Amino acid sequence: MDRQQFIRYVECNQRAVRRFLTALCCGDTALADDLAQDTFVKAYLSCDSFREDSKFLTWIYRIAYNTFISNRRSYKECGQLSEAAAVESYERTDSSFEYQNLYMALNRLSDKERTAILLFYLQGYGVNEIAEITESSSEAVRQQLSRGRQHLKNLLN
Amino acid sequence: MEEDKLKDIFTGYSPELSPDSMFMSRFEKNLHSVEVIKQRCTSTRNRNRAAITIASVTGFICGVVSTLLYPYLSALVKNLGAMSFIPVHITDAYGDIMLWAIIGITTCLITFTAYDITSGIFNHGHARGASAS
Repeated sequence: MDRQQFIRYVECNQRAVRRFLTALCCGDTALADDLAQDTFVKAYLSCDSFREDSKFLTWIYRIAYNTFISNRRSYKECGQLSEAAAVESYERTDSSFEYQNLYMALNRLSDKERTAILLFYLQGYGVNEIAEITESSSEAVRQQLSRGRQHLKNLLN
Repeated sequence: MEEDKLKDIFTGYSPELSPDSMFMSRFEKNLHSVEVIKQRCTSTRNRNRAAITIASVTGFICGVVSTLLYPYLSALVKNLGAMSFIPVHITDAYGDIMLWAIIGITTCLITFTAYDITSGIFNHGHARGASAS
């Protein structure tokens, strides 16, 4: 895959990936965009090793998920700086707070439950595909989906 | 809450994202940076390989020359013993070992110096080329 071809792929799919990452980051669009940038750059760096065009999106979502998890781990290791709280950000967040309740509910789920729910409902992936993306077993994904649905229903009710 | 309602929530989910053009512009800049770095890494790797090759050839030539000169060097060490510059019992017992040790150390120093000079010349040439462009 050459550079122009890859850019065309990204142009077609970036919105869906960013939407997924925004939900995964519970509304933090700035972080979601940063993760999306990292995802596509990582995908470009390893696109020579990618062969199956039909699973391109699955591969991208796997990279996106791993990028999100790495970011979460490094965030936990760094901790929060009190000075950072005073910094004003000009990045847009979801200013209408339309999805505030949804984000708060999603934030209460574990990373794996949230990922399984979003890939299932937002992206329309099946259990086996979600298992491939998150590198888990199908049984584990079913459990995560079931628990995630139950938690979401309780929280949104 | 019914499962259909969960589906409806996510089907209607359409968050405010930054403009696509801004995202793609930033992405293309990142790609360009990645390619510049990849190019630099490749040229650094090629320069290092060239320096190692030259150093290896230098080391090989030193080894060949040392081996060819060995009989003369051995005779020199024995003469030094005979002229009492080095105790005779040491030259008789350890002359060969001392000679090979000196040859080994000299070869290593010459090889390392060749690598250092060569990589310095290549890096200096690259830096001049980079600043000119």
